[in-house]
Amino acid sequence: MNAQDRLHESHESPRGPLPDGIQHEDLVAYLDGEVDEQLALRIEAAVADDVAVQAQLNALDATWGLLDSLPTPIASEELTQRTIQSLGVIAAAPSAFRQHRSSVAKWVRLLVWGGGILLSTVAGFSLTFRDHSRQDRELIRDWPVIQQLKDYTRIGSVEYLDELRDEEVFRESSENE
Amino acid sequence: MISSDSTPVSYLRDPDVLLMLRVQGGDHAAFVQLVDAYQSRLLGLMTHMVSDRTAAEDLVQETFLRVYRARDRYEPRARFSTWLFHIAGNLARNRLRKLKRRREQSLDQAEAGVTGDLRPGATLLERSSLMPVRQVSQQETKVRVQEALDSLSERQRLAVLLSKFEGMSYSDIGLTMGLTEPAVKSLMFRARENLRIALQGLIQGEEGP
Repeated sequence: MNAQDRLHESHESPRGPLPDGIQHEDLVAYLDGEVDEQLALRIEAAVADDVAVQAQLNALDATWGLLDSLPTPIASEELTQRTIQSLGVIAAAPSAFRQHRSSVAKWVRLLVWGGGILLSTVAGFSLTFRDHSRQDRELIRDWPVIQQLKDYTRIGSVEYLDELRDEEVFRESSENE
Repeated sequence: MISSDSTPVSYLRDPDVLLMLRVQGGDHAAFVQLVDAYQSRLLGLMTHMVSDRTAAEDLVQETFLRVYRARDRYEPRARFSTWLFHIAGNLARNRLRKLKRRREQSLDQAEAGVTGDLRPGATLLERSSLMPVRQVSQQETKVRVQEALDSLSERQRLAVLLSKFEGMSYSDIGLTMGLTEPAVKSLMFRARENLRIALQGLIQGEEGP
């Protein structure tokens, strides 16, 4: 304990006598709500009976109240930032970097999946349309045959048609047309 | 680390303990929440302890730095605030001791031949008893109350600030400062008695006509 501590901790302050069973420390503890109910009742009785005790208690209480006049500093946003940043330099940065890296990896995964799905969709569409176009072209090409299919079926064979062509049976009709 | 008879489980109800456990698990956002919650309270304590805003801000940062560095070893053996103010109180008292040593060294070097008591507390005590009773301005009240606070020993001042501004019980102050409850009771009494003496001029002024 240094000299100043000794000065304050052994300082004999002027204070009046108290009833038996009550110490000066108890008065402060009473104000701080740190005494049991029995002691609290004894102190309250002493305060009611003795003006000097009442004055001591009032003085201690008033002094305590004066501490309310001290300013209450509010931490600025800038201090918060500085505090967080100072910690960030030491320890949080790797963690933040890990978070950032994990976030990037997540986006890359999403992009790969998205790209894959898009490519599959495009490929599927183009294959389907290509197949449809081929079928359409074949349909257009075969359309005259399809239209005459009933007659062709009735005729029976291609050889017979060839014979009719060779006999120039179709010439007249085609010229008339 | 602060020890207590209570089981660690009982402190798991403290939301700030849960935040600190999240910090331990690597949750940086949880630490930001703790900084937000306690920064102004710590700044208040430090400002009244060292009477210097800049030094107080440094001490606040230093406190959080220590908390963060100690996160791996953290065990919920007390309320988070008790642990935090334990660290803060130690830092503030160390700073005051350093300042005091520096002041004493510079006084020794100066050897100005001053025989009077230069201790601020003594000056204040003397001043308070000699000062005529009069009405004082709010600003003067602030200054004199801060001087009265500064005149207390480091332990008394810390106990007063924890009780007054943090609303801590004697038991919590004991945990924070490593003292028994009877020791805190005694410390609080001496502190408040010293404040009463230092500020009696103001009190009489307030009570006067």
